[in-house]
Amino acid sequence: MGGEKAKAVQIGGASGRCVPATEFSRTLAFEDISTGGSIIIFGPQRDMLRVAKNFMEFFVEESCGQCTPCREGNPKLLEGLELLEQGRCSMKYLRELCQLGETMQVASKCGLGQSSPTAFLSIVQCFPDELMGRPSLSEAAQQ
Amino acid sequence: MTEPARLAETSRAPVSQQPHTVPPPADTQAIGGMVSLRIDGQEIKTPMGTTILEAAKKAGIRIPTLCYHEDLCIAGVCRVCVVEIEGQRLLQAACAYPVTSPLKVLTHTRKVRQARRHVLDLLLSTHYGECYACFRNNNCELQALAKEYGVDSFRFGHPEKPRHEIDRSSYSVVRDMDKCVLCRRCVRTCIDLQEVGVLEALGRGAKTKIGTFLERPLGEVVCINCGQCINRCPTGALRANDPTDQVWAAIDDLKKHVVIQTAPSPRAGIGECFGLPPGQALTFQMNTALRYCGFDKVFDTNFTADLTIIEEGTELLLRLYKALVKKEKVALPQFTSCSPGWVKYIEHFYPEMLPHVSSAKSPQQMFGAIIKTYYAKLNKLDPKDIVTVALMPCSAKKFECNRPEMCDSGLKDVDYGLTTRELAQMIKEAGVDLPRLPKSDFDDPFGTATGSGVIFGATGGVMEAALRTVIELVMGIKVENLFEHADITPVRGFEGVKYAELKIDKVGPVPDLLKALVPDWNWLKGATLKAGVAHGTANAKRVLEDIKAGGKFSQCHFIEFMACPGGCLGGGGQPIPTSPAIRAARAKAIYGEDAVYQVRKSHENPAVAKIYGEFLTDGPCGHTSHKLLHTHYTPRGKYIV
Repeated sequence: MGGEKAKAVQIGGASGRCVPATEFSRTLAFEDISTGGSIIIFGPQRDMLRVAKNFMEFFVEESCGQCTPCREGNPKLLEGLELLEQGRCSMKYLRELCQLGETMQVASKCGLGQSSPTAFLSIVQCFPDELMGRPSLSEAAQQ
Repeated sequence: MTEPARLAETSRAPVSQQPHTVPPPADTQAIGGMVSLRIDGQEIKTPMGTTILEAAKKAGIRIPTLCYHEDLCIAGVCRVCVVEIEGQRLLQAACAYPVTSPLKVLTHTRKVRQARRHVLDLLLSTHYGECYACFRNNNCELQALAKEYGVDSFRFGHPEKPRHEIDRSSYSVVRDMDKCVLCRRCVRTCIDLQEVGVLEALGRGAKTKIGTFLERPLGEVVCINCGQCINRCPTGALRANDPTDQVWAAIDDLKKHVVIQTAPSPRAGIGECFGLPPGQALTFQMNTALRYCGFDKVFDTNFTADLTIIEEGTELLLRLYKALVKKEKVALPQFTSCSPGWVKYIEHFYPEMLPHVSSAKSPQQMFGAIIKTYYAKLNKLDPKDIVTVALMPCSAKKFECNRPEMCDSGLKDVDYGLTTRELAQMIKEAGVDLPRLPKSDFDDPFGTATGSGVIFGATGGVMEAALRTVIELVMGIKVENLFEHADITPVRGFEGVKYAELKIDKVGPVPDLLKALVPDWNWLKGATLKAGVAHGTANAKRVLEDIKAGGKFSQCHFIEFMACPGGCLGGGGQPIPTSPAIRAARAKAIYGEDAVYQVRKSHENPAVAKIYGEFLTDGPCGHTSHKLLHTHYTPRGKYIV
């Protein structure tokens, strides 16, 4: 379709995992990367932080609000991305959020909460440089 | 004489949320009846379908919980009770996982501890408020969990500003949604346990909140004020409307004569607020404490409970006479009116059945009216200077004393309704250790009470008291001849709906008190008195539906209804927490008190005889008593204007 130099592929919709270019040789299969439904391909100009934020905004909206990990966890992950955007998220807090994501994956009541942090976790894992080191608001103002 | 009553199941809780998702096996001895599991290496055999949480509890292994409550259906939403099951990637909520095959459960692995800590951190990130400014301080399940899991900082933040306005619109229940952790216990209490359905979770996701119909304030919806939600809230989000400041102010005002009447249930429960195990009655220590706090007189509500029996019993006999002899159309069965939660329930949900409700006031309101008339006259006091406080196990009593029709003495009959918890707070403020106080008796002229008044606190108590009096007054025989120790056991116990029959095979010499009511009493001979008992509005609803359908209860003559599960001893003003075991212990204390009273029948109460001789001279259901001791009701309906 004319797309070139894709940098990541989101497999299995918003709740699936995000695969970076370095792993494009992997197989779409139950044994390797299982999928269901959609595949989203991100071009080189795409901001992965915005991608992650878009997914988290979706899950904050979609959570039914019954169980604690999903109801309260998704907004925390979104908040973390907003902090990253403003260059105000510490490494320590980001690690904390990743652990929270792991908890959400095993402790949520239904599949939505169990899979909602997957995209966040894989993007943080594969694109740390793109997420971190953003200029803070004051720095941006100076520039 | 009695048989278990079976009525249609009308619970609105979804089947998936019923207490047992897997029905317990009929025969645990049969093959597959029992299942064995291993929790933290401990081998446990348990009936098929038991939840991991229950199995662990039996084995003495603690699994923390928050949204789980013994009285309620399962929600499994808080995720505090998660455990690891060998071979499963996901953690499972122990409260909602029925064991149907051998499992290996681990309750405190790293994964589990981390998940619980995360859940707590998330709950605390939305829980606004400081613990030391909360009435649940030291009795809060969230606080206790935070301590248990060593929460030393708010990892995911903590709200700095309140986000909701405190709803103080109800006379009885105050809602502070800033402290809500969305465990939905109140929702399950209201919808499933009480079947009233005022509270529900509104919205989705992070916008979820517990609210009412169209988010109206609690004072404007069909809330019956039973306060069961308060007893089951794990935090301080729900509490009773606390009048202790006004009560202290009245005590401090030397011009005011402050009297308190104490209901039977608080004395069976108040010890729990002072660290005693449930089921220790502290009646006489409490009297000392009340005087120490500064109350001028301490009376026993049991006196008016006895009076209620006479008034309500007389009303019943008159209704029966009209129905059986004069063949007039009267509303039968007659319903009791002691429980203000029940009264508001029927006003809202079955207004067409209000003629069935006895016009007799509740003991609290009778006492208020008598204190501001008879007692004021007796002691040459100006009723304006008397402040009557009622110690009740009940949050709905606060609403009841504020009903506009409850001013028959010319003033507000009962000024303040105090709950057991609030009195415990006052006693603590006064600086005394209740269980260690010396004992003292109630004040005259209403000092004498009977065992019949005491048992008003338990479900079936009003009926038992009424039957004791009916047997003796109408049949002219001793209750002890029919029931050992005058314990009418068919109406006792925690079964949701009870039914009993009493054959009146003999009409004895009717005492002077009742003689004048009807010209002759022989019409009662050979009749069978049919009585019903229901506690909890869910059971009340079943009985009312049965009556409407022309079922067994439509043939009854007298039915006792209590809004709260277990009767008053499980009331919305009683110490928190509550559970079936705690309520059973309180009931034991109440029946224990009854057993040691010398006078155990309402009509034998000398103070009751005296008040009919001196004050209510036209007898039970006479003119004076109608003015002071009877009331009327408002058909409120379900629709809110």
